[in-house]
Amino acid sequence: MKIVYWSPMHGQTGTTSNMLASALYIGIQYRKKSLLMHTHFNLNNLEAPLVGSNAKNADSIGYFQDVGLDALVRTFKASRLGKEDLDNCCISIPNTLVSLLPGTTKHNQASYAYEMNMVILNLLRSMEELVDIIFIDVCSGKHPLSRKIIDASDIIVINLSQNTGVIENCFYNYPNLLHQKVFYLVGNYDDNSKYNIRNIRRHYRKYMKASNSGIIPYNTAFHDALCDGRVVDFIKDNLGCDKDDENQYFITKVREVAEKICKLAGLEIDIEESKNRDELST
Amino acid sequence: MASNIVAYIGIDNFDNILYLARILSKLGKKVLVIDNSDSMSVLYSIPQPKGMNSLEEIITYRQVDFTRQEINQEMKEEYDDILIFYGFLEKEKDISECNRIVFVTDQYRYNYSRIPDMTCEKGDQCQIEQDLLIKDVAPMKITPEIIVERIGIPIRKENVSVLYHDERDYTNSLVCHYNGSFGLKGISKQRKAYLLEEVKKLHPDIDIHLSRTAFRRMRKGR
Repeated sequence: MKIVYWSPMHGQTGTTSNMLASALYIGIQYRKKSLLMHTHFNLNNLEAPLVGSNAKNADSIGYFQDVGLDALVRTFKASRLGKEDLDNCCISIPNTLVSLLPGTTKHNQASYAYEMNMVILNLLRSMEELVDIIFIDVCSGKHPLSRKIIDASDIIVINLSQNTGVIENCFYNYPNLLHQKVFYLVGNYDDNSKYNIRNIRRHYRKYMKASNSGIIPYNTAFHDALCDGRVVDFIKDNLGCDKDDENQYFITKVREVAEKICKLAGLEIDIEESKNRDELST
Repeated sequence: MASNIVAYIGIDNFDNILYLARILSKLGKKVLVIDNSDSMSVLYSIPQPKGMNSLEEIITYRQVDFTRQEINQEMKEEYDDILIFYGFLEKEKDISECNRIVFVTDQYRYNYSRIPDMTCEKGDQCQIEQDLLIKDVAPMKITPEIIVERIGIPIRKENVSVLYHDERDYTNSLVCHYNGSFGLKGISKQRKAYLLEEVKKLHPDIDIHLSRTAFRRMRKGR
């Protein structure tokens, strides 16, 4: 199962943080063997919130040596990909079934693009046999690699913001995408805005319904956790927060998004069991 | 099914309508506010999303739904409470759908003298519970009792509410109108008492403590 997170515009919609929140919830709460990865050449921030540093950060080159997408591609080209090969190239998140595949550390963009174009689909196909879900953060807009991966994906999570220009851009410039299995996710969401999800659904009722759309609210503590590299701890700590907790609204909405994405994907999750687990963990 | 369909007839009362709608939504009720008035003071206080037309659809703002459409069966089935502001526009057909009418006036003769014109003598309306709210009352010779007498509508004494003019309430109302926030911070005690009493009239089953908690949460901006 491949779930792709994409956005029509870079830097506007919080795609990476949305993916971290929902994917970690699905991986931790529903105990799905999950792999988080991205295909950006640069300007991505998937690794740092999880492990404290990004792959392309010069200070952390040693940390990411022999792991990551580049190592995985080398292994894949050499032989059939096995479970151990994949595990060796990933960073496991402790006490979860979630792993991180760090991105490329290459400096030649053309070479990276060429290699990805050649191998990515077959690589993803091989990886799919070894994990339950692959969450892929792809480049925004009309990036050719993104288009390739999106076409091969099972679910596309289209990340939007409450900026009407971003929403219009999506529906106007990407009509072909909208016919596929799509989930619309509005991140950094503010329910006090007149452009709230109910009004957005009404205005774009042709595409968006309650079943294929959701929101992840802006949450200060979550954003701080992203910066501190503590996003896994944040999700775990707040899985069972009670109704008076200031993070309760955030985690409730993340749960709703996770449930809807899994339902859309046809993934079996025990919602009652996960709610009980939430209560027990308080 | 809507247990309360309330018509507000008379002068502008957008602030009380919006405060009440928010309190009810905080209490878990699904609320629809319809502005069928000529002043559209309720709708002017709600930020309108670009591309949406309140004449054709329902707009949600801060967990309360708003529209300028006429009330229909679908709305009656979907909402718990429907608050309709008519101003001084006659909508005889719609008023018969209501189970409560609140006439709203102040001490100005040109306002209270129009109230009797808005009532009809037909049997249907006489069956509807009728309240009178006299707002912005100043201590002068034309007392609320005189106004009730001059309006001449048979309204029970316990259904007459009087709100004395209060600068804080006036300022709060202006701020809410411009910010679209309907906060209750700085609201007067008499206004608070009036709103809680209205909640009690609409939902006598709701515990007063719950209403007070909802009120407090709104004041804190939650």
